[in-house]
Amino acid sequence: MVVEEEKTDLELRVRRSILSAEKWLSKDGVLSFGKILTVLIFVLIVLGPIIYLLFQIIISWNDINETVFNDPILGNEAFLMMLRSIGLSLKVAGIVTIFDIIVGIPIAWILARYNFRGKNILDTLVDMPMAVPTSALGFSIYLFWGTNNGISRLYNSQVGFVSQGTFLIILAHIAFTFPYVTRSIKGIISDLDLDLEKAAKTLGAPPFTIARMISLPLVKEGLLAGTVLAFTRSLGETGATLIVSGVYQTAPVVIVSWMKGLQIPTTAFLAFILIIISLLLLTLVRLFARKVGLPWNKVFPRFERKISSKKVARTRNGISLTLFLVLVFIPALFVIIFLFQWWGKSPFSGDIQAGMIYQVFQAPDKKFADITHALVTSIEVALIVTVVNIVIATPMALLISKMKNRKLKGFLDTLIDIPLVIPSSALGFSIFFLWGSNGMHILSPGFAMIVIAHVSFTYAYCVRPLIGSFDSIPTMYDEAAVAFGGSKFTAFRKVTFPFLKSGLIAAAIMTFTRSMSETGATIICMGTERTIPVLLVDFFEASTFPAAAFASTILIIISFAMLIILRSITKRRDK
Amino acid sequence: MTEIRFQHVTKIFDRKVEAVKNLSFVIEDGEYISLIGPSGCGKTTILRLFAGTILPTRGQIFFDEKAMENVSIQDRNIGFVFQHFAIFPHMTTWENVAYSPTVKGKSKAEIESLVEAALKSVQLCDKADLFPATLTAPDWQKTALARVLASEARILLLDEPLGALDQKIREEFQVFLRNLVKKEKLTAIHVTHDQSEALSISDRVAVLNKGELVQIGTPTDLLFNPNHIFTSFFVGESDFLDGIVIDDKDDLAKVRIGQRLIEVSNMAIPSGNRVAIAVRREFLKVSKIKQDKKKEELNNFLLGTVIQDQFMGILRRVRIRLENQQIIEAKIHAKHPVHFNENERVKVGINPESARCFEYPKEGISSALEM
Repeated sequence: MVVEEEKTDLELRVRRSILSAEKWLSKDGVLSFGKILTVLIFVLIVLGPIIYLLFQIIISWNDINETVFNDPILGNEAFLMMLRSIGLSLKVAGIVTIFDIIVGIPIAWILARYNFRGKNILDTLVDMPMAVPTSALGFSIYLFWGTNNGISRLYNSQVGFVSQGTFLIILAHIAFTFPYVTRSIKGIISDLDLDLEKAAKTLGAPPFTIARMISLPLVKEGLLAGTVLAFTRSLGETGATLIVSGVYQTAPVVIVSWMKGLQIPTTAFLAFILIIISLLLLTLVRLFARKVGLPWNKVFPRFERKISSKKVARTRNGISLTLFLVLVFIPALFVIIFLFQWWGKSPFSGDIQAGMIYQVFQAPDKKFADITHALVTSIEVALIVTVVNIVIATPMALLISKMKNRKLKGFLDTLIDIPLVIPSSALGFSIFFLWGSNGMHILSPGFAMIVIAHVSFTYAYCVRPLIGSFDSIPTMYDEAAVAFGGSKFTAFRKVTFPFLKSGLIAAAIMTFTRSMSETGATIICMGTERTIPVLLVDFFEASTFPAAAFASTILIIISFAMLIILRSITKRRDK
Repeated sequence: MTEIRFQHVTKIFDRKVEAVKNLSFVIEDGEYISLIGPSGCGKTTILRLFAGTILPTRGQIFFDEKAMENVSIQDRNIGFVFQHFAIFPHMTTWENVAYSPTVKGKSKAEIESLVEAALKSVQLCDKADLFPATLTAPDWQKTALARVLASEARILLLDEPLGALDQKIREEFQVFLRNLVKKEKLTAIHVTHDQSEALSISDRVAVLNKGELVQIGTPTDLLFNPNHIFTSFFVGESDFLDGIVIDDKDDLAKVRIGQRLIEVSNMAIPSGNRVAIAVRREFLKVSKIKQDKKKEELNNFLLGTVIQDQFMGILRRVRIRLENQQIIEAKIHAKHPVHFNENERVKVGINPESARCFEYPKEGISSALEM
């Protein structure tokens, strides 16, 4: 009895001290300090490097002018190469985005509106390339299209169906940008009010016209957001492109290779141009997204009635699904088949030393140790980044969600998106530039710098869904929690936080997977460290394909597991 | 128990929207007050001013003579019942009720006795360990009330508390709510758009329009002695006739409407003044002109022609165009033996006690009644 009383007494004392601590934290002064700190961290980690880079370009313009435009030996060759690579990047991103839209809309429609067996599996498969590291994806696609192990086996050719270069880059980029368009409109399509479509039907419009004039305009904003994401992801991708590009280098790949040659001024200038292009794009979309109307008011009744027939719809769905399977799904997972082909020995020569087992576990260079080490580094980085980001992103999301000043809110909201659209290699470079020997000189490339770079580009992935979570909590719960005597912090802990739980887990998994799979920024900031996607690129460059396939498969399995957890969480939340 | 006093309270949003204008009133200890008025009249803003989620732009609010301007929402000792209840979905009924004493740092024994007593008061003991998702709206309502009781609040703020309940259950809850408030000796402020709810549940009712207090009084006062043209318009159903006071000497005043003289309640408006006469639709009597002389004869009446006689359930609505071209409606019982034909000439009998006149608004009747 006495013991129990002491226990309750302890519980009471602990609770009271927590409550009074929270009361102190809820004081207006402390809260404003917290807000300032939140914004400051955002500026330091995310915006700072970019601003510093822009600033340095202007200050050391003479230096750049000399190396980029008037090199004593190369003249303006560096600048011409920049233009070529940026041109290629824009071309690829454009083609890829158009393909994504054309095939992505029907697939999103199928996923949102049709019910069929295996729909859930298709839904997961569509998301998969978003979670799998692009270097693994690019490697798999290269094996499928570009070597004699893949599609060319079907017709017994000794060379690949497609060689490294623009076309292969496009194929690889389609695979990992595809989900962004589909994902961003699928949810909106399934939330649309079906009565609108029924109304249009009773007024005599054929299904295609309804979809075009009634449904799609309502999906416009989501479609635009997805399109921008797909475009900027393609524009900024490094890992897969390193593998499939060959001599045709896109701008992010050029950044990485110049960085490896320590050509700092030229790299800085290219990163600067890429950042400017991305920012322009972001601003344009933000400014004009709502104003752009779909210029489709004219109707061609006969033609549209014809293509609304069941036959045409079925054909269209069939083509979209086939394209998805052939261009995205099979190539993306081909690496697993390859791994089994090369498990013990080469399927062509029967050479055991060319097989995966020998290369990974028995060869004198101990690749397995490298793989485990890189895997551990990757997981460590991803875990630290996730924890840090949850801690710094939650207050930011709360701040934006509760902000009353509309203009300031919109401005902060746009700033959050910046790391989302900037190529990660350019972002990684600006972090190297600010924190490393060219800037504050606090860090040299290595583990800590990787962590900072990853925090920077995953920040938006964390804040964005959390803003959504905060927005979806009805304000009456906050009001009730405070009205019944809780301080703001107590109300947050006891009432807001439980609402946030699944949102937080989802944000954490997103951050973790993004960090696990990133290549471009990592290569720039890693020094002698290796994460597993980078190691994969190394293996590829050393032509030890079976080892690369082994690493890819591990990555695919991890990201697949993450994806399934993420889906089960978000699904539970939807209920 | 707490006495609440509003003193010249004004609330302006965004520097231009005047949501509440110069509001002054006193709420006594243990009183049950309802605030009614059209949407946007400021009633929810007033509730928020009580709670302290917003502060007055000008003026003061006193709880027991203590100014509240620097007292935060947690320390006002108020209990809020939200329209959609705001029952925390991740806590059981018990945990919901225990929330307030827990965050106020009460000991375990105190929490237990408060929660048990509160649950007992609302008859919810058997559902203590269930989660809100498994309960129904009436139980959420009870949980919300128990949560207030356990918080030991002395002031109960109710924001459309019965709005989410079905009609039948709502009537039961009106009785339940009033009894609970009286038993626990709380001061209750109840916001609703349903005037019958306000009239049946409250000690006094405040009628608001455009941020101003129009009239505050007992339900019978508002219904039968409105002292403002808006009250007689908003509480119950009335039509307004245009007339001139001829004689203001007796208990009943004489007014001229068109060519006819009728008697109405004397509101001390001097002779010769133009007035708006509010006539309650359910107190109008309609009869045919050529009637048997033996039957009761109306003598305080106007003449008009029937536009329509429409069945509306328990009541019938007869629309009539008076001689002066004004249109009024009479609500008569559905079983009223006489049926009126279109264009038939009728007498419209007026009960002098229920017809009240107000100074004719300078801006015209329709803009005086604008919500």
